[in-house]
Amino acid sequence: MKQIIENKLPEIKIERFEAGTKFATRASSGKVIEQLAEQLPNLIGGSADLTPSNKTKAKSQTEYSPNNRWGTYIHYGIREFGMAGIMNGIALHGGLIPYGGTFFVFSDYMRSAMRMAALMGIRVIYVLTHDSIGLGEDGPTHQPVEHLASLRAIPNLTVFRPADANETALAWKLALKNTSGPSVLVLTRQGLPTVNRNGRDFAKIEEAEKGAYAVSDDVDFDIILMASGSEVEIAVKAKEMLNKDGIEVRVVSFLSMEIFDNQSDGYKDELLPERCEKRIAVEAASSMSWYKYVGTKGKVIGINKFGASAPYEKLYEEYGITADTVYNAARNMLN
Amino acid sequence: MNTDLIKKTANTVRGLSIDAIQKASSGHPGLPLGMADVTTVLFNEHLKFNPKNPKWFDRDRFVLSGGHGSMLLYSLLHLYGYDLSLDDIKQFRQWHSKTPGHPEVQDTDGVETTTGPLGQGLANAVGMALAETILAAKYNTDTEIINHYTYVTAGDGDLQEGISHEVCSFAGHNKLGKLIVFYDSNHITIDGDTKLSFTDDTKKRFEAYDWQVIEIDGHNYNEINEAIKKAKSETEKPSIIICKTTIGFGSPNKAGTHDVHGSPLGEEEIILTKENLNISTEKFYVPDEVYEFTKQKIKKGKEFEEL
Repeated sequence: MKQIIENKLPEIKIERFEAGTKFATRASSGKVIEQLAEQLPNLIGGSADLTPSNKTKAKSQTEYSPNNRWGTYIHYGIREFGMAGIMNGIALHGGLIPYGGTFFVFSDYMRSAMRMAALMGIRVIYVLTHDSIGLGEDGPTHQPVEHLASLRAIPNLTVFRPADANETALAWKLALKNTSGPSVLVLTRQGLPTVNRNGRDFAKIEEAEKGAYAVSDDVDFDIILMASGSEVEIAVKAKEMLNKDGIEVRVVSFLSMEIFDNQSDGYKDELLPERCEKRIAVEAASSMSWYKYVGTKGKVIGINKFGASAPYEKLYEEYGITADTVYNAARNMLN
Repeated sequence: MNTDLIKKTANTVRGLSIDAIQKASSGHPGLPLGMADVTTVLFNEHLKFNPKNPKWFDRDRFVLSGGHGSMLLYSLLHLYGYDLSLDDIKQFRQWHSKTPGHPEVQDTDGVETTTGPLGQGLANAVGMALAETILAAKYNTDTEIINHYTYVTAGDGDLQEGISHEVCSFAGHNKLGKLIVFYDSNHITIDGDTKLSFTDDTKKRFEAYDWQVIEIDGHNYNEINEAIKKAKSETEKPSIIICKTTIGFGSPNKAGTHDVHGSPLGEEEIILTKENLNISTEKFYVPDEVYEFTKQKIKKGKEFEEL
């Protein structure tokens, strides 16, 4: 009880995800929650009626109700704004750590309460799934476009968009450790490969604690490709294509722009050195967030219009969020 | 309950509030004047808190959902012994003061949440009441260590906002019996009378959510006190106490109108208001007997903790 009042977080253990598996980040988040719920008795989960889609409920959590007051999972009902306002109250009360899920597009409903959480500097965690055109058939009503840029614009709100299962686990850890502000986990519906971090091809997961890091890197890189979440896979594929042409490439995964922005100038210059002005960012969202990183000579491949209803592979093709687009843009830039 | 001293304390709250707003040349006198009676009875007769240890975990939570009425809260926090001096009150709405335009949780002891965007304080209060039930179920095993109420004042604006429908429905469904809402029903919003846009039957609305609904005259001390007792004893349902109040109560020329909502009364009207309330016209005046009176409650703070 004392520990809980004093808001002390015990050491959290989350198992590493094995390379070669393929999970939607919402699914890896679900597996992380299973482990967190066992270790953190004061973690209070919930969803605004999208529990199976958000993967927010651990098996060990029982449902809160008037007859089960010790339940640690809240069915908020289809009340996104209400959920976010109630979570602020839970966090302010003290003793409990609230997280709640809905579709990323409905962050619009919650936005005012998220802003208040950021203003108050309280720990609330939003699990926002179905994060782009990658959700496919539900179409533009449900496909976020401007949401990443708009949440990244809120001061003191940390936005995570993990690229694979291990980045998802790290994002959860960092969100729990952040006691001075809310965090958003932006997660996919579609599957993403878990990259092998034990070999030479990919960076160790600890690198990601700096917010952005060279996930896949060549020593004498001529060009930097940047991406977050599901588009990191695309950037990595483009790098493979460029490598075949003898071009050396650095791929930077932006797990969280806010965390990267708080790093030392030294680290920022090391990751994005001034000498390399050839930079391309790719993200299946409004391009606004990226210009400060690509610079005036760089290029952003984003989506600045509404999505559409179709299978997601078709949408990525039609909206030009592909390795081919990135490869061609890189070749043009290098010529 | 000593209604004579309750009245003097409530009127002191009124005086401090209108003086601070006048000095800042900005602020909202309507709410503090209208709700001073209800909140003074609450603070003096019911609220469990220790101003010398404002973060004491098992304190009752008090949320002013209409954050624009911040001077009401600051006046009460000053009189009830929190770390908020008369000088702080004179710094209302100034750079780096403890008394910003709307209450901010990180700036002032005794402020439980930052409020201003209407309806959200109510949502926060629902979250606090929910948290209390979970922690009580978890930790009240051998001894009772968690047992407190969540009180919130909400106005016409709070109850019009969509979020109030979401969270009050949620609170009713989950039978958050230790949540007590004071609805400051004064029939005035910025554009004018609530008839312009808000003719719901609030009583029926909350009955439909399965809340206990109590209706009182928000300027009658005995009714206020009895209503709070009744609300506290109903632990199966949240309670809403519909307090019929007059916005800007005490102001002879502005009470009951939207003119009193969001701008200072003006020097002349302040003097008329104080004369009408039968209190000193001296600025920022607190009678010794009021300090003596609130000291009794302040002393209880430590006893509450030891209970």
